[in-house]
Amino acid sequence: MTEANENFRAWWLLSPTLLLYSLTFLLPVCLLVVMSFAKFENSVTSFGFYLDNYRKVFGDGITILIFWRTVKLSIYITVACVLLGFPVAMVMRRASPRGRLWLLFFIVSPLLTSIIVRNVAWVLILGRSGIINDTLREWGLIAAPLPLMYNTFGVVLAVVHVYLSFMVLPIYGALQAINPSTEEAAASLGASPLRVFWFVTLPQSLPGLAAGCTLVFILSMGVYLTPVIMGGNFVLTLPMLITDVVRNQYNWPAASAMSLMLLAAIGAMVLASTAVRRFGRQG
Amino acid sequence: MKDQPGISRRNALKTATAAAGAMATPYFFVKAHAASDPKVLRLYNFDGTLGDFYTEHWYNPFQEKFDLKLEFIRLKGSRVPLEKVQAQIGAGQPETDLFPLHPDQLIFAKRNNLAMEIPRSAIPEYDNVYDEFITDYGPCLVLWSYGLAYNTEAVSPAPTSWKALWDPAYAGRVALNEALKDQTLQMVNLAFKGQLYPVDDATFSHLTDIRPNLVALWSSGADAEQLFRNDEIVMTPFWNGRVTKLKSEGLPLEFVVPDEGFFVRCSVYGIPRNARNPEVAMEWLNFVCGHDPQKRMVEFGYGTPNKMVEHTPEQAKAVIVADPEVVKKAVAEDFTRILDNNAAWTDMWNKWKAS
Amino acid sequence: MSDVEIQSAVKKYGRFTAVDSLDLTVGGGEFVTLLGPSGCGKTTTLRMVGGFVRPTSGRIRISDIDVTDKPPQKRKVGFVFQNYALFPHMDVARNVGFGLRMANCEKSLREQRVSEALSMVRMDHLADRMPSQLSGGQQQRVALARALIVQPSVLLLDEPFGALDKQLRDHMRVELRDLQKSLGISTLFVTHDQDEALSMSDRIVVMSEGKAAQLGSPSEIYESPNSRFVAEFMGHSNIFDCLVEDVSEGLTRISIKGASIFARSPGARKGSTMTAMIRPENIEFAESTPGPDSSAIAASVAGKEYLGSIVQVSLELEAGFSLVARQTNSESATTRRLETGQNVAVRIPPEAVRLL
Repeated sequence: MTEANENFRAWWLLSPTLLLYSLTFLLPVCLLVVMSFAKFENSVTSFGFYLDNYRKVFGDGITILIFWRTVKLSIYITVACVLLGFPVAMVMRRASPRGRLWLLFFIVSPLLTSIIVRNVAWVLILGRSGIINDTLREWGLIAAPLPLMYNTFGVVLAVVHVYLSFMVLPIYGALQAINPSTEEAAASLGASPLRVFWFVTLPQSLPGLAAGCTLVFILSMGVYLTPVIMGGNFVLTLPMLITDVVRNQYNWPAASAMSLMLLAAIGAMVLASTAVRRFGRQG
Repeated sequence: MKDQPGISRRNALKTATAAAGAMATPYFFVKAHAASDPKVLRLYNFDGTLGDFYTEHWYNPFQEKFDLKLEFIRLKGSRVPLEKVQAQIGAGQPETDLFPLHPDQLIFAKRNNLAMEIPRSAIPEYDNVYDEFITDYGPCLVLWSYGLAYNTEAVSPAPTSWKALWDPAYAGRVALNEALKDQTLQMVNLAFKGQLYPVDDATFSHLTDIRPNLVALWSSGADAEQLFRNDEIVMTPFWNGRVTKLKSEGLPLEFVVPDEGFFVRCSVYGIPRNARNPEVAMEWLNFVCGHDPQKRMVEFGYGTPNKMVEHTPEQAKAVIVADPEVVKKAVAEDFTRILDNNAAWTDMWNKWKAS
Repeated sequence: MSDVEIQSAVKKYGRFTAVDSLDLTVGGGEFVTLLGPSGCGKTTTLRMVGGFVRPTSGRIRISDIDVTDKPPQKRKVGFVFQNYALFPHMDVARNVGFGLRMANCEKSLREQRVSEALSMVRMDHLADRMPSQLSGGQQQRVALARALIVQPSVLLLDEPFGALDKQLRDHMRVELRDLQKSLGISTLFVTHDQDEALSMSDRIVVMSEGKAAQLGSPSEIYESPNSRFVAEFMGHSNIFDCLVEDVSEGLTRISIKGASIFARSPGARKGSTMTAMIRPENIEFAESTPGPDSSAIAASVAGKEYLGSIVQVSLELEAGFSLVARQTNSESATTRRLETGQNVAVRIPPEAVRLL
């Protein structure tokens, strides 16, 4: 009885958040579902229960392809973030408070810059006449400029640059929570630094790693502007497709179905990450 | 889909969906519900130099003359977000009192009853406008030409055909237009088939042929401008106004009308249904159709539908459409076909990109 | 043969010297304790032996091999941490087996030795528990088993009882000492708790400001501290500055704030200022007011503390200093009958006074 009461009181604290979420998330999602079953014909939307949009999404031979390319791109970005972010988090953990602050600032700084400024900067660095290509040509290392942007590489690089902090911070948080004595214990039991990392540090940082991967993957699945600019429109993502369907075809119903597909993929990722975290806790 | 029972339910759903659309963009939501003061006229404005031009010559003089307050919503890119306006009209009120529509957007607006009909009598200045630029929904203004822009230092001899884009000499130095992919597809057809339609596999096989030349597909005029500035490209299909501006800044660019033909488009300035101030909006339309605002537009580099505006030889050359010989080369686009094939063409386009 | 040899080890952190030219040899299965207040350098010393801290200068040798430049994994030491440092993501058996796994020990052999090690610490029934499901004492045992299973040359213990409650701590002390004796493994133990040090050690190193203040057996350290610091740290309460008034054969007369007391302590020079330590349990009570020639000193009871097995009395001496006296709580103990404010005569036998 008392326990139930306390539970109720705890839930009560959540009510402003729940209200906000139902207004800004649940309600729109419900409307998306309704919209996704509408029919768009001859520029006019009519409501009802039509499966045309889902038939289009799964049957037009291109939406699914772009969806998988988006997943693939997000995986590239996530993996790159892990490979670059884990060492940074490790350094941050060992750094002095001052050094840590600098690193943090360095990692977060892309978030403080506007996307336009960032992408112009990338052009100056990666472009045909950018710093890298000019330097390499001057040194005679290459004859023709390297294609560093307007392709997947450029998109991954630019997105990783921004989302790295979403990987570094959760991993750093998890690393901070690790008792350093456990690593020392492993070392004194004969584990080399690499094995200490593999058997002790990494498993204990799995929750942070999973959180970071989830964040970066989800954010990458929604990435839109950077591929437009950095990918020269050749790297197609589902959000770009959705935007095009709404903006240039005015087809809300098809866009709704695609959005729900994206949402489902993200939901699946969250579930998978929860499972990994549970696994991490159990060892 | 004609007349179904349960209209009220449908309308309710429509309203709810529209509300969701508005909610997704809280800024506009707030704007749409601002106090409806008859002395306030709400308009879209563009980014960049065109936006500056509008402010200086089309908005400020009107504001002074009629003692009104103008409010602007800045557009990203060159197209009014008609999908959003549609949601806003469904929910009650559009965010502006006027909207510039591309020809295909006008057809969509008609089909969904998004634009108000404007009687000819409401716009006295129509007397000075060529008939073909007057629609039931407003005047066609800002006549822009779409041809080939190229770097005069890197491309020689000067191209005379769209096919120059395919020249292997420019491998990795060419870009195409993603924002108006319908125009890109029609351009390919024009270059190789001598006609705009149909868009089919042959069209895309020519696009595949141009692939080695392509650096990027640009999605706004500003993007294309950057590509020229950064020396990424030497040639792209482009509109004349932006080239005029870049030339005036000293960039070695030139605009040509290819032999196969070129495109002329304009914006229909309409009044969205349920706009708060249609009377003032019509007043503004009358004002901009007039001689002075149109003369300024010619000076800026885009053509005018106003018969009374005279061109200097330089202006005539820059606006392209002032020369009857050149105008003959303009192709007649089928905007209904463009609108109705948008989805199918986009699918083919994306498959081509993904291949 | 020595198991651990610390040779003039120095550890500096910037300007701060944590360990200052420390020498220590541990061997032959003895139990040596590094005792001192926090910041005295005892843990740094232990971590230098473990390989987690590199000495600024000096050498560390384990089993007669110089390991100063070797990382922890090449030292064959068993380290038990203050908070046990069990791997939270591994169950008890995998924790204990970790060292063997790192040594690429074959699985069946590993399992056998894990179960042996677990039964050694009486934890075999909890082999598949996770550390978070164990009590402090159980975690302690697992940590011990994990450290010992690799048969290290030396066992290093860093305040291993710090997190346990008193009763369990006393129990674990005995258990650890028994285990250590039966294995005959040389052990270096770090603590700030004198009782722990006194009860467990073969030898104690009392450390102060990075240096060994005194090295000796528990009784030497307790009964014959060589400095005021050691005496105070070992819990002695009656420590005074004194003037040596006269030195005669076997007996030294000293004056504490004008009160003359005899001490039987060698090494005093007449006229010098020294530190006198009076052992509280050796102070005797005369009960009646002393006569002028008596060796007894007049005092009044300032306070009385009942500690169960011991009764402790603080006395205010006429000479103007206070003294703590302690007696075992028996029927005959004088202190039991004393009341606060009561005047008493106390006698300080020369054997109870030690000059430092």
